[in-house]
Amino acid sequence: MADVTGVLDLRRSPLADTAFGVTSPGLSLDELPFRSLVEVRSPEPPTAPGLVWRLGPAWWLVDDSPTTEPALEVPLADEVRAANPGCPVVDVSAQRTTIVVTGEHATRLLAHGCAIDLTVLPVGEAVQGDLAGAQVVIGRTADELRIYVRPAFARHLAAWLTDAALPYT
Amino acid sequence: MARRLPTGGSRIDRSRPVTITVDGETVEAYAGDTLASALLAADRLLVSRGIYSGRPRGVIGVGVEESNAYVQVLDDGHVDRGGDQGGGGGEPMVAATTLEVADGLAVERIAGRGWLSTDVDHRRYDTLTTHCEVAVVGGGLAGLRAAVAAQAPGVRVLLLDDGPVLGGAAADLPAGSPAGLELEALLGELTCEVLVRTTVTGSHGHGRLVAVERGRRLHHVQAARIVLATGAQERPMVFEDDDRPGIMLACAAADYVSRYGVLPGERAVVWTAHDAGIHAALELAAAGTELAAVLDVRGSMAPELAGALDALGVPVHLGAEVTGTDGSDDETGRLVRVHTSAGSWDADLLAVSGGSNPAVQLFSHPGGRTRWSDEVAGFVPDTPAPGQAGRESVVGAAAGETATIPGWREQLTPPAAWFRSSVGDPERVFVDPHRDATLHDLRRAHAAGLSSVEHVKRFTTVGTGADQGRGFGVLTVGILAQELGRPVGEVGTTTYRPPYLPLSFGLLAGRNRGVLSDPVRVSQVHDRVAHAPMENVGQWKRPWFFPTADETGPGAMDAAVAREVAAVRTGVGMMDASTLGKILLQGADVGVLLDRVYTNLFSTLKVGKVRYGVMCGPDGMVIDDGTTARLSETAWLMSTTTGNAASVYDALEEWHQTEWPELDVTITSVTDQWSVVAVAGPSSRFVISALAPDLDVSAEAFAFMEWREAVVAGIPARVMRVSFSGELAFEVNVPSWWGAALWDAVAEAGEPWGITPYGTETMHVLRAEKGFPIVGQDTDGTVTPHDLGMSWAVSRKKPDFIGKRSLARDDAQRPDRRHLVGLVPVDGRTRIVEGAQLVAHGADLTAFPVAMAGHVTSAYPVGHDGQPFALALLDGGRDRLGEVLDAVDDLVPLAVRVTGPVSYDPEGARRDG
Repeated sequence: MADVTGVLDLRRSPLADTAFGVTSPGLSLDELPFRSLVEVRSPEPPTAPGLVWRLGPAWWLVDDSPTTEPALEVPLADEVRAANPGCPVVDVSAQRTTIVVTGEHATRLLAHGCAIDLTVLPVGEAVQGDLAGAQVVIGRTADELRIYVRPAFARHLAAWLTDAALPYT
Repeated sequence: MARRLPTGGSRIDRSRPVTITVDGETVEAYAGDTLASALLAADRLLVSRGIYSGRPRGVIGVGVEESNAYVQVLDDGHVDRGGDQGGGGGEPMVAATTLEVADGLAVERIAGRGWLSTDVDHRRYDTLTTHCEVAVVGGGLAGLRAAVAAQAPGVRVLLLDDGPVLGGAAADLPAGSPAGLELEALLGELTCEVLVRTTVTGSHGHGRLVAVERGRRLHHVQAARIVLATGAQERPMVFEDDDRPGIMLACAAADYVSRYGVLPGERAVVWTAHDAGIHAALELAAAGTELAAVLDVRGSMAPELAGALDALGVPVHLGAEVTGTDGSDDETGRLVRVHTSAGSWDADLLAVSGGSNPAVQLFSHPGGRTRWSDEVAGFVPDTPAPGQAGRESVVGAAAGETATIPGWREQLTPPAAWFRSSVGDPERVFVDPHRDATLHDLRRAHAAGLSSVEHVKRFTTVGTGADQGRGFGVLTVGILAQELGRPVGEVGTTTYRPPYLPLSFGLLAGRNRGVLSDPVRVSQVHDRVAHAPMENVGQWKRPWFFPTADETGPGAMDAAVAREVAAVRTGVGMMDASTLGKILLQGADVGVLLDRVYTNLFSTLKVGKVRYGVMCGPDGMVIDDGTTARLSETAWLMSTTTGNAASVYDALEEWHQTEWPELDVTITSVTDQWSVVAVAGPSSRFVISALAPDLDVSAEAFAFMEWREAVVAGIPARVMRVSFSGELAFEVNVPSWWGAALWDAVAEAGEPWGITPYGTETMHVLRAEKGFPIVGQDTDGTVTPHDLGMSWAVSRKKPDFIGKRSLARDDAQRPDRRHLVGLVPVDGRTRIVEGAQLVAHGADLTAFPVAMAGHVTSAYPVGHDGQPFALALLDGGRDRLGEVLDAVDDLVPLAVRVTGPVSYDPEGARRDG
């Protein structure tokens, strides 16, 4: 593993080479690849860097910057394990890719394919559900919606989002 | 526009002329017209014909209650709206009274039945979910009042109206009238979200409404509270020859004046059973229609109304009824003369109004009960559906209120419940013109012994036409009650079910068509193998086989698979195994859980080892199989079949959450976390050794059913020695973002050994020769592990596991259960057909029923010995080895010999290379 950067460069995000992306005044869509993501089981919110989403009772998703070391598991997993003793931690960084939706039409766009009431989703909270036939986690930050989707579904969802965006762009 | 009045028409814009085409002929109209108003304005009265009788028919109503005027839309003229690609737009059976005109609109008149266009529908349909605290259905004054009253900070109110503008009847009244002033004030206060041209077609309980906007967008509305302000619909009365063009609902006729500036007749007879009909007569007279006579079925008339008619010099006949009509001799058959109990008159308009039906359909959809009200002379909401109580209210005319709109068609005298003339030929009294059903048909139903309105509906087809009884449904109930001699309320209405208005298939499909019709799942290796023909496995696309440039035509698959099989048996092959389900289980009690969900023992598995397991349902039947690796003392990685990943995950969660919550286990799906490339064949060790120089791949250091962490081609990986082919094999697992890079590296490193990519078909051949079953192909939910010959995988020591009790049942131990066996053709060359039934050799296939002994579950044209072979489930199969049977496909028998399921390397000598 002499060439660390080289190995990281060999990675391919699910939406690489698909020309996915929408940029318009009211709506933009982009893939945020290679985020470090770990699931944590803990009764209390876990101590962790980055965004911490509640997925369900005693169930959390941590979203932090991409790793800089090639490894079987992202370093964030051990970091969270150490900070939350006794709490099961799973690396799911390659289990989901992240699609960021911003703009005034962001919430309405997803309402074309998601039955969950996202208009009342507070900043800092996430929901799990079905978006256009794909199981997703949708979290709201101060200025964006983050969709975490399985790589196998990413191209389908990207195609669906791109089509859904037509009336808004 | 012969009948267009010089002024008036609240809904039309005279500055925007519109040209439409009817049966190829041009018709001029204005923006805001409906097709019906445009046709009436053009004095084109013949709009359709009876579906069976062929009788000429015209426009009856002014909205969704229309029962006659259905047309075939050839092009809806709405090209390029809302992102459409444009073009086409054919639609069968569209009510002329609700079809808004637009330039380019082209329609054809039909006789009661349209046709589905065979053109591709390029229009864009979509779906939108809206959540709100209050949904108000209907934007008339009652709905507007409710919406404005509900508006508050934090309360999302959604107001839906099927018309082009809000206000309902008030929008057609003068701006300075009390209703017009109130409308202006309400619109000024209205701040909530409004959807116009949006019809709520279903109320599905628990606050869920479905609505359609302009035919193009399907709205799912989830509301905490629902206000139904759906108004009322005018009810006709029937008599002999009641279906001629020129016979209309009275209020509808007056509405054509106020909304569209169209005068529906020069000389009219008006027949009514309630005051609104008299108001309508006065409105028509004010617009220029000469009233030949006004008839009221009731015995008295309010002095105000009587005085107004008297002032116009109109003869009024109380307690009178229409008894018949004459039509013109030309093809339009239009009304020329009206016969009544009080005399006959020449007229080109007969305006009839039998009363008002509160629009209770949405109230009834989820199970709301209606009752007959004599005060209203109609069915009104009574008991809301259990799930709607407290969250639903009905207001305005829909609730039976008669004074919702101040100063408009006021009710001064109670209405009469009157449905038909007392005389006339029953075969010419049409009670559902769209179905051409008559009073005679109703009487036949009655004579046949039918008394339930539901039975009568099905016997006569009354109410099953395009209007679904909106026009004549309650009228039919009234007539049926008369025939039966029972109160109307006791007879009751038919059940109102969604959708209130027809929904097109295109609308329901929405954007879920073409590539978006169902998600396509692809692995992160997909782009490297995408040139191969694909097999659909659940939602996944998996490479089926990899034909070379020489392997073309109908034999391509057989040739490619034979080559791929040979490569794995004699050299090395590689395949993308990423789609298999992967579930990470963590916790101190994972071993306990696995001992319960697998039939064999898992808790004894040591870290670094992998074990194969079979899962059964509580019925003892196999539901899945796969391997599970122990990663650490507390972490285990389970693999499932590609198709069952989600159901196994769900089953694990369900057992854990509902039955064994005390177990320290957490379960996480990691199917997409890992890309897996399987390297299989006697040369696979060389390839892995070249890729992972630091990994000792010798059989001694890295045994079958073990896993190791290693760096493979520079990529951090977990390598497992598992085999689905019987050959020496390694499965390399890497975080999925390295999947494509791993594939490239394996292909490159394997080149010296001629590494051959193989697909699912070769995988199936390889495993079938080893007798490895595929759950779902060789099993069908009725197969136990014992039936598969896998008793070795069923623990006799464990106190319990899911399915253990069922496997102990006598039936699960019958010796004649269907067992998994192998088959070869007796002639050594004819292909066995998958799905073929197994019968006794030489059985007479014409002597039904032929006794079936089993069926072929998997069949392949070529095995390692060059001959076709198959797997089958056969009654008592294990005891019938060597027996000859017939495998019957499409009545063609093929003699096959029963063998053991394992046809290749039964000793398992090849797995270590």
